Amino acid sequence: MATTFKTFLNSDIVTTKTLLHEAIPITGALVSGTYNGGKPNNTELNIKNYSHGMFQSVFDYPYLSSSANHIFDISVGFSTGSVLSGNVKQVKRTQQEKKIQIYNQMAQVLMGHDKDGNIRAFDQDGDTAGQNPHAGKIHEAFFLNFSRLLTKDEIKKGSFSIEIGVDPRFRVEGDLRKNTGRTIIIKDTNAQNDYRVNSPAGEFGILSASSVQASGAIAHGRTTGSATATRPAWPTKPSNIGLIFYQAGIVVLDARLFASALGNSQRTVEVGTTDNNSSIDGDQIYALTGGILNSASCIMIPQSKPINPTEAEIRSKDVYALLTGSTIQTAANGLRHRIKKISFNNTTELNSSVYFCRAHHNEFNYSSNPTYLADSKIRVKNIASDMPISYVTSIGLYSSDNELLAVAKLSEPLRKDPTNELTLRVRLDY
Amino acid sequence: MAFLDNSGDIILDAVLTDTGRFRMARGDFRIVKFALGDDEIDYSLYNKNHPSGSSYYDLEVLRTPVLESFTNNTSLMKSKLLSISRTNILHMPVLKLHNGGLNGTANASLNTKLSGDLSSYLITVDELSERVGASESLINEQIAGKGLIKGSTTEALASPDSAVIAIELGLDTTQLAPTVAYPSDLVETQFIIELDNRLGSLVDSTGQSVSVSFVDDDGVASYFVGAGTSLVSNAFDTLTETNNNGQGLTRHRVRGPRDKVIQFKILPNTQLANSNFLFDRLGSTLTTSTSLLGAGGGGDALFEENLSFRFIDTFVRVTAATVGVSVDIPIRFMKKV
Repeated sequence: MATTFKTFLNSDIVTTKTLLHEAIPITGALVSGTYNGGKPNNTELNIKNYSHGMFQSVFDYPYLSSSANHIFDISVGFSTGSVLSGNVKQVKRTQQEKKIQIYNQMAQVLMGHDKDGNIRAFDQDGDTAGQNPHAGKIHEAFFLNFSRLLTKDEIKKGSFSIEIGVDPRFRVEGDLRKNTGRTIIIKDTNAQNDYRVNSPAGEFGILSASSVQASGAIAHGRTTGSATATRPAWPTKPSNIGLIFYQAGIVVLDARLFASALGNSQRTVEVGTTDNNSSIDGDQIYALTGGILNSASCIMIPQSKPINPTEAEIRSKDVYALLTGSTIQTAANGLRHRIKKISFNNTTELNSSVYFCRAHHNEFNYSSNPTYLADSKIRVKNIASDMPISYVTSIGLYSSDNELLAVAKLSEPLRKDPTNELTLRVRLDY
Repeated sequence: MAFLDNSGDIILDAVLTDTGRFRMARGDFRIVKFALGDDEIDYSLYNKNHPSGSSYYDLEVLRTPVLESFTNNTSLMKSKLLSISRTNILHMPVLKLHNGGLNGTANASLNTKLSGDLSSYLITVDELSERVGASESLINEQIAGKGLIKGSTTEALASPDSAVIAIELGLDTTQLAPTVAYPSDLVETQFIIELDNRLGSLVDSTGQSVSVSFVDDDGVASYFVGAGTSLVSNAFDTLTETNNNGQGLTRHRVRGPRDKVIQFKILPNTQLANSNFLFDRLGSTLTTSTSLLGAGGGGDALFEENLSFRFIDTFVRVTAATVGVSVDIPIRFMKKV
């Protein structure tokens, strides 16, 4: 009896799981500069802003083009417990509700709730059970939400890196990131061996900053501790400058990475008045918890021409001013224009079924190909005792009712005759 | 589809077909068997006379570039490899359209000829397209043998002057006499007939409808027809094409040992009679003339001259499930404008 199908045995089907990694490099020029002709005040065609003003989207090409791919979103927020929050002294900040809403939304999804149902703040070292609920928290943060197109199933632990320009000056016309005097790299160093699992959104790692230049852009050695005359309590450590949530594909950057760590540049914020750098009033001044930079704070608003800002100019354009006096869109622009490079590896989890298609010596030696016969005689034979020969180019996988569900093609024909046996391994990934 | 890179190791390019994805969405995706195919292979390239010897016979065959996988389930695995335990088979069966029988000497009761003008079966979809009379469409009732299937009603379809599509399975060779026993391991037990479900459905030669086995995601209906059904019969005779010893001429087109004959007609979908939508989308128009289906000319003078018809060309695929061979039969649905 002639047959065209062969039924799989149980031992012919195997399921496996493999991880596939891709390197994702995002250049700073793509994030700012390429699509505005190098003029920071020009419209950037690959940046999409929304009327709701809650976040900003970055595309890899002018977003009105069908060729554009969404690569990540930027937003910014602060908690109700932040010193910057007007809640502390009942003062109105620009887009305060939206910034708090963004922070709470992200914290709720990524950090979850405590036993009383309150939203947990982002924690610098991931230890949400710390004794002091206000210590070691990230109350002001930039959020980078990478698209699933880039992160796939998750970001590979230990592979994330973002290089940021932190020079307080602005000397090059065009963009903040082009002033390469001082840069820092923020990475999830050793996260493949040291990560946290106490987030409802999956695993997360701690981001740490390091100087690129030998001279150092970071004030190393700052540790947690009590307030001193020149230093507030719980200063920020460069080794805890943000969090990265691998499955969610979200990076939380502590806004203090753009602030100075130096005692004489400690930033204070006066709430309740619009004047924040004049006379000291103990009831109105709040000292911020300090930054990490071994320099003055960065100006965060792109300029149309080079400037070497004075202390007063820095204070009016630094990250705290940005968070309190600017919209989320402007704050996103500020971060974006300082990004020099982002890179990470993504991970795709492939679940595979492997089908072993075994053609034994006495199987699949004839063909129903119309060219196989000439006047019903098999072309590859002269006489009946000649060996039948066929050539395999395709493998069809069928359901029980003979519907073709999957097909595999060989890159070149394989000869099949009674003297050989073939085992073709077809892998279907899901 | 591009060709696969064949410069290095042998690789496999595997994809789910559209039906596979559909089944996955429906939740009954389950692979239970496989088949091997050789769609790209042209066996006429096998050179048994190569001067360098048998190692070089299939040199050209093995150089055949292979296309990437299609995802359309009906575009792949057209020709499958066969498993037959016997290795001394020299002849294998083919499917041949009866088309009036060998040399046109078929018994007159078998109205199986194609339209000679169009090399296709013509299927009229409504009564207007079949009306008899000089001022109407058909020129007279002498339409038998001209490849016309009257599809306006089941009665018209069942009438003897409405053509029947007949396909024979057998060893089409003069090296084996028709009286030689047909190989038992090549006997066919089931045929698969595939047809665009939007356009028509399968009926037997008496107009009785045949149950459709399934309709795939592309709207192609498959009918599994077993050897014991009214559509399938054994060979008509074991005669030859010459009248040896006065025994008569064969009614078959297959010249050697014969297995089965499958006969059917196509009932057009009523939507074709009631709407021009599919004709406008899938078809075109023609005007009869003395050289095309029209009166006064040669060939198949079915209609008056200068009549306009809408038409859709398609085909019916018949596959012998066991031995794997298949044949595509061209059909044309026609509707008078």
